Amino acid sequence: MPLLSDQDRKALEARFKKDVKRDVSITLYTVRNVGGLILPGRECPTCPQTEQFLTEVAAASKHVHLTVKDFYADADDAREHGVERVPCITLHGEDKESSNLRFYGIPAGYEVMTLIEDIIAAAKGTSPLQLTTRKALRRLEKPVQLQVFVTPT
Amino acid sequence: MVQAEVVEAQEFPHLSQAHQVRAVPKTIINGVSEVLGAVNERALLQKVLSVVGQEDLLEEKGKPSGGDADSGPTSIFGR
Repeated sequence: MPLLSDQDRKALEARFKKDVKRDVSITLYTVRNVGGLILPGRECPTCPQTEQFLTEVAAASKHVHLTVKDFYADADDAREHGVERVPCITLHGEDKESSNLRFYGIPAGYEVMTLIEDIIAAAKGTSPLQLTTRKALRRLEKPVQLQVFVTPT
Repeated sequence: MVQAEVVEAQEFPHLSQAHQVRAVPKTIINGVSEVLGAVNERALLQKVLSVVGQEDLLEEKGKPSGGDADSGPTSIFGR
């Protein structure tokens, strides 16, 4: 059974059609069960639903592409992209090879809109930030890591 | 230079506890400094600049910036 209702799917398709005109790559780092086997310490209860949700999101536009990687089987790749836990979603537009944005956990509630807006921003390849902010950030001399804790409601 | 992470607090209780997350949204900058609640862009920028010790970047606003002409929107994705 789909996670997106017919109404939501149609709204998403319309929004993507309007605002996503260039390719966007979504990468999901997940844990895949091999033959139904779940190893202790490697449980990821929200991974299957996250994959299903992103599959439905990607299906809403020909420009949105989903790649699914296994956190353990593709451990080197995950480390290279700064992925520390699962499920983790990263995204980048066609002019970039990697992302500096990571979503940890299943997108739910308002977080769905955050993700959709970020997919659109990645497609456009532009920042919604003000000019003065962008100017200041461009001159940063040290790395900055922002971790925003949220809940689904 | 900027890496951003959105963390679903309930799904990662150990990480949330480590940063004493009792209300959301809560933003942790470089693992040390925290911002509670939703703040505007300038307030967040000020906090970020103070964490890295570059508050002067905001004060320089309006001064000639020596060839640092703006070249339009910058992608927030990718390095």
